[in-house]
Amino acid sequence: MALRRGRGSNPRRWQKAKATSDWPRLSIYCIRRLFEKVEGFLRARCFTERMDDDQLRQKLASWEVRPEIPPDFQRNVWQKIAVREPKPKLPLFGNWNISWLRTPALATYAIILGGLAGTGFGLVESSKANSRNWKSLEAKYVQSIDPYEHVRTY
Amino acid sequence: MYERTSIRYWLLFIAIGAFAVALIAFCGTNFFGTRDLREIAKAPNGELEWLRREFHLSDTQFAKIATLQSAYTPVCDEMCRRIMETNSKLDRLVSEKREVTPELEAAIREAGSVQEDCHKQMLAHIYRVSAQMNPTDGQNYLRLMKSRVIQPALSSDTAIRAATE
Repeated sequence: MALRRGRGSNPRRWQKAKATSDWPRLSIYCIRRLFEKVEGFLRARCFTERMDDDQLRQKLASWEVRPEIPPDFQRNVWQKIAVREPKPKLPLFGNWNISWLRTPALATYAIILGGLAGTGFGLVESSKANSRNWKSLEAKYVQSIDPYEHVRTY
Repeated sequence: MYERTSIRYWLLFIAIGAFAVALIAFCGTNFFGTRDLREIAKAPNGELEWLRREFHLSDTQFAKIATLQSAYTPVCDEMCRRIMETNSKLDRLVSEKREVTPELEAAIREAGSVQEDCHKQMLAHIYRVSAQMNPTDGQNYLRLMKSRVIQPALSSDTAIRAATE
């Protein structure tokens, strides 16, 4: 069992204890450090020198892994695959690349197209309205000089 | 299922947005494209502004023609009054009489005389106005007035077509 790094092994606390000459705390710190060193040494020896190949093989053969798979593991995997997979092409468009039809691009194209169409129809309509207004101004002028037109409009 | 619904909402928003943009562009273009002529049409002397633009009048020409027009307006109003008087008199006599009486003959002659006067005055004004214009524009003005005023039964481009043929 590994020794937990406690208060005594904290270098800051060591510095503080040293500065205030807190000898009980300093001694506890030294003992903990000593235990940590010994434990590290023993572990290293166990795995490198004290255990031969047969023992290691036995240990490895007896090592049993029991993985705990979360219940939604498979679904998560498929979801991740689906996210990374390229979107299937619409059969209507054959083998064409329709990646530009993704939502933000589609929104941009639709708005640009809408703006252009609106402007185009607006220009046509304003041209017609201007033509009508021009004709009405012409009629107004004729009416202003022709008394018979005056009488007709009464 | 959730993704499909989300895509449907997106498509709906895109369609609504595109329609809104199209509508705004249409209304804006239409409003700003017709603003100039709408203002001219609303103005009290809009017809003179039409004349200025249609026949490329300079400021001097426009000022002279405006003066001519303001001098002609009372004459035109007076002729209008006379036409209405003679027409109502003729209408009354035609309704009252059952035969052509000397009184009815006189009313017909008077109506014809008023019409003749009107044509003379109007034609004189048209010539005076065309004299203020550049020769080409003056010619075009006479053609247009001929088709609109002197030969009203003919279609508006008849005189122009006849002149160009």
